[in-house]
Amino acid sequence: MTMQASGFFTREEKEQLKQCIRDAEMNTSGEIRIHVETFFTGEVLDRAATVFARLNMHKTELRNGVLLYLAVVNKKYAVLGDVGINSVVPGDFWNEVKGVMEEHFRNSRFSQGLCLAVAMVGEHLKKHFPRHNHDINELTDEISFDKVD
Amino acid sequence: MKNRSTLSIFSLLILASLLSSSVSGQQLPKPMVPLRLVNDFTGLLQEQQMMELNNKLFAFNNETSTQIYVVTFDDLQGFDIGDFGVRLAEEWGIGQQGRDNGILILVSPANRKVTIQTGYGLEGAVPDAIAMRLINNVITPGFRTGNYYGSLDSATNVLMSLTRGEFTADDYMKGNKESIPAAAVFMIMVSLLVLISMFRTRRRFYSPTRSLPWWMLMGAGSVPKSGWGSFSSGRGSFGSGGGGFGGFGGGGGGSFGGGGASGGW
Repeated sequence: MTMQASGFFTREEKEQLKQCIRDAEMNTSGEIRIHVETFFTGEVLDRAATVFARLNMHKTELRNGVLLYLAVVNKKYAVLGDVGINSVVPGDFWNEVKGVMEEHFRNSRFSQGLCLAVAMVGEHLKKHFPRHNHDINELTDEISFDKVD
Repeated sequence: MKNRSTLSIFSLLILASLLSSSVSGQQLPKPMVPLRLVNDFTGLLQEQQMMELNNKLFAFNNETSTQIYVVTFDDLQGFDIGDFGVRLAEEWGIGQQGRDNGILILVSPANRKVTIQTGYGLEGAVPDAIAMRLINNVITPGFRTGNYYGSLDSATNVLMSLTRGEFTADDYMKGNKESIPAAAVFMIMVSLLVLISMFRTRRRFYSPTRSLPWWMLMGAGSVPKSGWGSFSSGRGSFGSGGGGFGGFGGGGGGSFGGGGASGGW
């Protein structure tokens, strides 16, 4: 297994994940991003929060951005939802998403785990943040890698 | 009256800690981007060597979750290299939070100084005496001949074996005994005694003030050093740092207020 974030997924997997995000964002104004990093130090949720800010994910109109974060060397991941989405999901929702990811990650099914997590998040986004006519795709659907200070 | 003086001392401490943290923020280098385990700020290693060492340490981190950092940095701003190392380890959050399983090898080529700082979680596997021996027997001799990569490669190999539990600190001490000149042993014993007495004094002196920031705990007193191989103690509350999760402090700028969950595989 490669230790570099950029080589963590095959080209096909990257395309699949992009499509997963597109599907989940269909009919909702919510925004989902996946960021894969090679390595970090400290606490994974803190790191994910930093990445969240660096990717400008807190600047969505309804504060409904959700980040799925993965660090290859550390074997850590996190799911992080902004205040808008966080206030409407059930209290244990993030842990449920985490559980789904964990189950697949432990068996090295990373893209499947991520895609399922994205779909779970998408369900809630669709329910609470229906798409408006003037809705624009505020954040890219591409997975991003490293390059965050 | 008593209350007021306690209060003013307290506010002084707060002021001092504020001043210090702002100063340390300016003085300490920021981690290289993308984040990595070998941060060669001084260009001590060739690019290829840096990559190889880094990848080896990445693989080790991946396998064991132990983070071994190698940092080269020249401007210690007048600080003892050990103190500087503790500050850096704290600031960068080296080691996994809650486990304190980080090790920092800090090299300052301009000052010809090396230090190994070990997180609390690894002090059993890599006691200070071992760290000192590693500097004196593995790193220093290689550095003297300019073999920086070879020295750091060997030193990290030993640290990896120790933290993996492949051999214990005692084994390492025994295994090396024959090859060390009596003078070196004597020197080590002397520095050990100095260190021990330092810790003793420090502990007694500072014991009521455990909650003070680490920089206040790093009391006065320095180990005699001469060129490469100066050993610095690995104490201080290194590894406990890192922003609070509650506020998602890492995000910076305003309250985040979001929610999330995390795990590992």
